[in-house]
Amino acid sequence: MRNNIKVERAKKDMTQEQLAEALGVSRQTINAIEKNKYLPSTLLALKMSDLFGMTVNELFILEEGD
Amino acid sequence: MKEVMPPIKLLPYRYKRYGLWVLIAGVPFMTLLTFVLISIGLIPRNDAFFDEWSKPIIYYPIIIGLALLNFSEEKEEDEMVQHVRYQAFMTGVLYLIVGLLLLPLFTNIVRLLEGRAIGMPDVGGMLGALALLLVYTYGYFRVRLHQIQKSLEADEE
Repeated sequence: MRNNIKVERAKKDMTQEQLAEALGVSRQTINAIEKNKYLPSTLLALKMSDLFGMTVNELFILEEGD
Repeated sequence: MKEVMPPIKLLPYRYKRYGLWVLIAGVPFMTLLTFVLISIGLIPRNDAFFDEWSKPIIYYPIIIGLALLNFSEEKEEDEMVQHVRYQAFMTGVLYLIVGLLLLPLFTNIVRLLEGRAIGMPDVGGMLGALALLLVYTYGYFRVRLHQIQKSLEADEE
C-alpha cells in the first residue's frame, strides 16, 4: 500500500509536526506512515481524509499483492 | 466515536522515572533492608541471606523497575507506540518460551563440554510461571473473542 500523505501535506503547506498535532499523534507516527513503515488505524485514516478533504481511497492506494 | 475495544490503561509517563529509580536504588535498598532485618533478628541466621534472600533482593527491584518501565505510557503515546508495544510483548513472550525450553539443552551441552555429568537445571518455577502466563493470555484472548462474537450476534438479531 502506498499513500499520498506527504504530497497532500505539502499542498496544505503543513509540517509533519503540525499534521501530527492536528491528528493527535506524534510526529514520528506521521513520518512512519509517510514512509509506509506503519499502517494507520481506520480512525486515524478517516481523520486524515477529513483533514485533507478527500476520501480514504484517494489518500491510501492499494497495490498489487495487498 | 465509542471504541469497541478500548485501549489498555497504562500508568502515566512519570512512572518511567520511578521505574528507573527502582532499578538504580532498589538493589542497595533491599540489601540494606535485609541487613537491618538480620541485625534486629527477624532473619534468624546470617547464612539465610545467601540461601533465601539473595535472589529476591536482586530480582524484586529489577522486576518492579522493569514493570514500571513497561507498563507506563511514552511521552507521546499514540496508536503506533501501542502497536510497537504489542509487538514487543509478543516477541518477548515467544523468546522467553524458546529460551526456557532450550535452557536445559544449553546447560547440558556446557556440562558435557566441561566433562561433567548431565542434569536438569532448576527451571521448575520459571516453567510454572510461564505456563500461568500462557494460560492467562490464551484464556483472556478466547473469552474476549467469544464476548465480541456474542455481542455481534446480539446486534444482528
